[in-house]
Amino acid sequence: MTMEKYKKILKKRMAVFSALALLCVGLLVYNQFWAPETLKNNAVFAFQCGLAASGALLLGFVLIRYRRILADDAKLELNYRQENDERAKAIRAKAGYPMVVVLSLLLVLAGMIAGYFNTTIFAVLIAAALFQMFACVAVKLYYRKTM
Amino acid sequence: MQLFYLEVFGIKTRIRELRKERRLSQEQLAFAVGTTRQTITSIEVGKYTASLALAYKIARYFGLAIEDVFDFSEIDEEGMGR
Repeated sequence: MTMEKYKKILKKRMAVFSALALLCVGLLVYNQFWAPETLKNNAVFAFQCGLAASGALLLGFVLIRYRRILADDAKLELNYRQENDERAKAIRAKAGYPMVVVLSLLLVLAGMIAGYFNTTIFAVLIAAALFQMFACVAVKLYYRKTM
Repeated sequence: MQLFYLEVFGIKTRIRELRKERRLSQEQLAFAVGTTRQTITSIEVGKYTASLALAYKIARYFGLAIEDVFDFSEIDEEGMGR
């Protein structure tokens, strides 16, 4: 793959991340000013606000990073090599990436929906998602040391 | 059995020796073959076994055959598994 193609891929990712960041900001603004009072008296509501704020912040950081990478050809090539490095790919595969992340996000989403009906289910689903992600990171760190 | 051996012990290589001969850093070699310094380090110490494509790129970079860079004697000793 040429660097021009990789640049296009990064730009596409930036567009998707920008849309997600805007969605998070929109959700935060809605929750702050227009959400009905009945929803606000719920533990899930506070969690949703926190998640949207952290999501917007995280996506903002990623967008800044991508912008810097796109502005510098040396950084672009280094990032390309890091992303496509076969050892890194093997480690990610052993840690269950990207399915673990997808499943964790689905668990969080399910937890947030279930939370409006039952707080215990909400807590269990969020705990399961967190455990899954921590396990993924732990396996990744282990293989980074041993592989 | 060979796969188990490769998974656990990795393959011995002459990469470090060849690199030193040519006064190349791990970063320079990694850049030339399109991988990262960490991967070159892992291959050199035998923690990671390179894929056939990467092994070919490394061998070609040094102008040698794969078996001149990577030591397959342990596999040879085990036979072909038939």
